[in-house]
Amino acid sequence: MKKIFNGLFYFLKFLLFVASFSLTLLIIVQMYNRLGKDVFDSIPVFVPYLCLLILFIINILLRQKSVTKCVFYNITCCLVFGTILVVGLRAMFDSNMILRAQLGRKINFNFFDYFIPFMKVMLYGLSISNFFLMFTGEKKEKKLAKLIKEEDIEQVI
Amino acid sequence: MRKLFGEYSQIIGYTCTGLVFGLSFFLLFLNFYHYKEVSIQTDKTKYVDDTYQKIMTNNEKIKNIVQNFDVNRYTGSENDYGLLSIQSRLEMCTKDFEDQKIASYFQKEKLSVSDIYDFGSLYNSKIVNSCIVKELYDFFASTPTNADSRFSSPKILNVTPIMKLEADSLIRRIDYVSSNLENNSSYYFNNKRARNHVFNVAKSSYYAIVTSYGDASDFLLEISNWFARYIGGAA
Repeated sequence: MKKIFNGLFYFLKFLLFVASFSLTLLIIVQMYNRLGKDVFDSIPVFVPYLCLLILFIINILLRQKSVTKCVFYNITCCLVFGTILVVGLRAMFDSNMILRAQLGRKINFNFFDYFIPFMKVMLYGLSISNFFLMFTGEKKEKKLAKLIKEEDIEQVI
Repeated sequence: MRKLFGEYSQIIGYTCTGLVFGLSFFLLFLNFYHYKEVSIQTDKTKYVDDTYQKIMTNNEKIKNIVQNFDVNRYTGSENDYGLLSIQSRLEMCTKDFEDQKIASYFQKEKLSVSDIYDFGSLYNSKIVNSCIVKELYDFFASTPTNADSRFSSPKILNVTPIMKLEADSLIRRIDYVSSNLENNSSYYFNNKRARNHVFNVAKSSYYAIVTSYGDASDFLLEISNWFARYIGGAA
C-alpha cells in the first residue's frame, strides 16, 4: 500500500512540477511584457525551480532511495506544486477579483506577484530538505541490517 | 561520526519538509477561503427597485419637457441655438439613463463583487462621462466664455455655479468605491471580521452606486425643470 502511494505521489510530483513551472513561466512572461520590462530580469524567479530540477535529476541518477522513497517528501512536493497551480489558476480565472480585469490580459498580476516570495520560500525549502535527506545514510543502514540478518541465519544453520 | 551526521541530516531534512508542508497547506487553504470570500453576493432590496422606478419616472418627466419645447413657438429674447442645445443635451442624457446594461444591473436579484464594480464603472462612463461631463458640465461651464454663441442672459450665469457644484459632487461621488473594491484582489490573513469587511464594502458600495444613479437622475430633472421655467410659456 505504501509503495503504491509513494509511486503515485512520485509520478504526480513530476507532473505537477512541469505544470506549475509552465504556468509560472506563462504568467511571469505576460507580467513582464505588460510592465515593459526585459523578460531576462525575471530569471531569479526561476532559480529555485532550476535548483529543484537539478536535485531531482541527481536523485534519479544516484538512485537515492532516502529521497525518492520518502512519502512525506513526495506529498509535500505535490502540495507545493498544487498550491502554485491553484494560485496561478486563480490569478487567471477568478473573475471576482477586481484587479484581474483592470490590469489587462485578464490575469491578476498583483495577486500572483504577492505570492512569488512564498513560492520562492517553499521551493528553496524543498531544495534544502532534499539536500539534507540525501545524506541520511538510510540505504547503508538497510544494507547493514540485511547483512546482520544473513549472518544470524548462517549462525543458526 | 558518520552515523551521527546522517541522523542530524535526517532531522534537518524532515524539519524543513515539515515547515514547507505547513506553509503550503496554509497557503492552499487560505486560497480556498479567499476564493469563497470574494465570491460573496449581495441581494437586491426594495430600495434598489424604488430608485430604479424613480429614475424611470424622472426620465418620462424629462422627456415630456424636452418634447413639448418647440423653438418655433418660442417668443422670448434668448438665443434659439442655446435652447436647442440644452434640449438635445437633455435628450441624450435620458438615453444614457435608459441604457440596457444599466437596466440589467438594476434588475439583477443577486450581484457579485465584480458586478458591483462594473455597475460603478457604468455609472462613471454612461452617467458621469457621457451625460454630466460631456453634455451638462461642458455646456454650463463653457457658457460664460462662449456667451455670444449661446446664452447672453445673466440668469444662466447665476445658475452656473450651482450646477457646477452639484455636477462636481456627482462626478466624485463613487471614486472611493472603485479603490475599496479593488482591495479584494490580494491576500491577507482571513478572519470573520475581514470577511464581514469585504461583504460590507460590497454592500455599501452597491447602495452608494444606486444612490448616485438616483441623485444624478434628480439632478437631470432639476435642470429640465429649470429649463421649462426658463423658456416660460414656450414649453
